[in-house]
Amino acid sequence: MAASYDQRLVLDSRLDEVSRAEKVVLEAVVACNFSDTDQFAIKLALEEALANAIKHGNESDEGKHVTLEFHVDERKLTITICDEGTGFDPQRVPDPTLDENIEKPYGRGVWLIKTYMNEVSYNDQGNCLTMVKFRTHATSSSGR
Amino acid sequence: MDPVEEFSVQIEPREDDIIVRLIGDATLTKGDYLQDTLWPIIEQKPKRVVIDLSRLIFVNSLGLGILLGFRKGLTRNSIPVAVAGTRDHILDVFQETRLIELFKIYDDVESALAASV
Repeated sequence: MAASYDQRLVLDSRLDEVSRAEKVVLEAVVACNFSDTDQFAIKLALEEALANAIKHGNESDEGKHVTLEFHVDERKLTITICDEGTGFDPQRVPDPTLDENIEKPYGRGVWLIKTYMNEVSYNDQGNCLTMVKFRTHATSSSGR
Repeated sequence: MDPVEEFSVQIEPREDDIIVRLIGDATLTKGDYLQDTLWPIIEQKPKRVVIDLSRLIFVNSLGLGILLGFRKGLTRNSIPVAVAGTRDHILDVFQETRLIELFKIYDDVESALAASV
């Protein structure tokens, strides 16, 4: 029978919670035979999304939580991450790869999520992110 | 992915140069440690700095930002800096973010030093 996992996690607004969430998600994608390159991309997107939710969304307020729900099977991973903040407009985030931005030490998180995942969308309020990663086949030379 | 190795930074003075080795998994909680370890190197005023990433498994935007800040501090002090030994996944991040245009990247530390960074 094909592997398939669904899980919902509620995280405190602390950065040390990120590794707990990563461990759960990455164990599931490994069980579903995602490649090393896929795992790297998922871990990167997860770190960026959870860091944004904790630091910018919930402003590291430990009274607020971040929820993470995911479904993974041998075809794709879908993750939704929501914070309790007021949200933001992802369209207004500057492109960090423009000449005027590449030396800036910040502002790459949202862009990395978009680059390393296959589908990314936000709710209207901008405080819930859904991202999808399709499993690449082992014979593929490129993970993205 | 490769097995997770606890993140650490090793600093190796070599004559007038400094080799900085980033090892393991540079996750979100390692930012302060990375910053606090790199910054004093600028004050030591080495002749050159080579950042060895051959054992770096993972880096996120926080780590990239700290490396950019380190580069800026070195450049302000006219200290040349290069990167050596990036693994495929890390090199891909450098390419996608265009950081590859800011850092000279060599296959390994010896190549970087031989090239007179």
